[in-house]
Amino acid sequence: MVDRELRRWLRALDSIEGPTDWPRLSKIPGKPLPTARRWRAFASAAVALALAGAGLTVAAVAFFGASETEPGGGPGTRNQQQAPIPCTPLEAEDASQIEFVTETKIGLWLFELLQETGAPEGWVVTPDHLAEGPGGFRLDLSQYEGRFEVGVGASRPDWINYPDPPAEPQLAERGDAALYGGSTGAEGHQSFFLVFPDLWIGVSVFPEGGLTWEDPGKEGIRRDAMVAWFHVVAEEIERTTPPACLTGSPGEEPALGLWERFGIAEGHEVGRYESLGAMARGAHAVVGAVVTGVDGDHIYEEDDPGSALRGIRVTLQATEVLKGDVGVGDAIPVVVGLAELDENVEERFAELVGDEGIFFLVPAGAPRPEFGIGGEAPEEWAGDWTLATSQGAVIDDRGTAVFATDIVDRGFPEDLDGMPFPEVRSRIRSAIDEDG
Amino acid sequence: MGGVLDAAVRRRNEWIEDLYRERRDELWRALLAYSGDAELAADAVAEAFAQALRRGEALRSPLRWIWKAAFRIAAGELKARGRVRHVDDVPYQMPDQATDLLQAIATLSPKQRAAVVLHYYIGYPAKDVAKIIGSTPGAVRVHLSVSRRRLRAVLRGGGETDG
Repeated sequence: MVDRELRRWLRALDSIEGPTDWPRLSKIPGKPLPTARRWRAFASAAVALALAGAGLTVAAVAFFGASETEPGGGPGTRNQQQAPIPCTPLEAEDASQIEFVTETKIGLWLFELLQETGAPEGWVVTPDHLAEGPGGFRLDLSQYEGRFEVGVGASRPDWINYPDPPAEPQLAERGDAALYGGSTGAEGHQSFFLVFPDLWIGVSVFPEGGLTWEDPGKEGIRRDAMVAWFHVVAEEIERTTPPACLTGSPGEEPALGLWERFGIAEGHEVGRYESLGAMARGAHAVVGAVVTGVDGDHIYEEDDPGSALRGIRVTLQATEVLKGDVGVGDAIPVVVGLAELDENVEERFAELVGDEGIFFLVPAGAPRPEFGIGGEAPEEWAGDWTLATSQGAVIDDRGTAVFATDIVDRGFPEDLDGMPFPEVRSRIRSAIDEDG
Repeated sequence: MGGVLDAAVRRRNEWIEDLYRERRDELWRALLAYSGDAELAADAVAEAFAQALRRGEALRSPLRWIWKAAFRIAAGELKARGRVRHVDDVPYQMPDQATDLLQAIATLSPKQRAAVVLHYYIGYPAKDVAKIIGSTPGAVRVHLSVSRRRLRAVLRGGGETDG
């Protein structure tokens, strides 16, 4: 089916008559409460906390409105300052609003952290306005000596060039979180991005008098101060943030995961499983393995002239065989899926899997009648394997199912995330043993 | 000064109201194809436009924001239900060919459905589709490629496309 044929087919949708009883926009009731009430309370508290020392509490209340839910405690208590980001519960009545509020709370929490840890010397931070749509939040210093803008989101904004190589040398990496130094902007500002698997934090620095970035001896924003502050942020996020905060907002599909950022979408999906046990039992082989090579030469048949997708074939070396007719030490070729390749693909695949992972495999093109999928193995796949499913088919050495969105959505294996790797392995082994 | 601002806000609201009248049916059909549910699609359309109206100046690109918000609202609702409603369940009159098409699209994964509808029906390039559904252009192209194969199998298998 070529593009124009599909387009023509989809025109059939035009024949469907739309509703005749559309409401007037002004008559559609808003849904500001209770979510917005909580948000206002939280914002008011955070801002008042930050500004109290400068005697600006009144201004903060005026900006955010009076708190409706603070009968005791009051803004600025130590407990509130130390509380983790309140990711849940949030009403699922309005997904986009929830995302907006959640991310804004993360932004405010960063704002608090900025006050607590101290910004680079000479900075004064004040909230200014909410930026565009869900996920945007800025702290604006324009009324002072410079501007410091923070954006927080669950989706990568198009001005962050992740996962492509950053425009300037990468400054630091912290496991899954990466700190990138962006290019100098049109206004002479410098941008940095702290990128987690499902959360980005972008900071743009607008120092007065221009940048003296390369010369920390002069006045201005110092690279080392900024990097040090980012490390504090990263550590605090890791320490205090529930995993749910970094993997999407309640009430909507999990945010973009590493796997998709990697450029692979669904790969060769041959089935979905309701649980880890079902997946382990359904797989022909389950191996602990390390990735020893990534080959992008396998060109996938592509009938869209505008695309240049290729298959990825990785080579695993089995370090442990939990199930299947595979030997320890064997090299296992695995067709993983489609991707747009670039020179960093190998590095990013290693980052995805870690030093070692557990892979659930089936023969490439194996028929899976239980899923209504027949075997259509191309000749060049002879002897190859593929992931048992696009969901949860790799568990990395941090105990995280990195390909797992659907399984996690179905309530499994939520308790697996972050679990020690030996325990994950033990559970998988038990699941296989139960099957006999 | 206040009068100028009021006038600007009024003009912007009127523009969004016009947008609502002109584009709501198109967005509704796209969401119907995505969700298989006429009522859910209508609710998502209305809510997205209403939110855009309330946010006013905070939105720099209202139309794209509305599409994004509508798809996210619909996705959240579908997820809350735990499944995609089969089009046969919907008490809604529509031509047979459209019914067949919706049933074929329903065999795709959520992101595949969104990618197909936004790219092939609405005409958004992969880059814009990625922004709307929260993905990357590369991943969207993969979704489209996989969807084409799957739809080809489903639609041709039923003898629906060659005609």
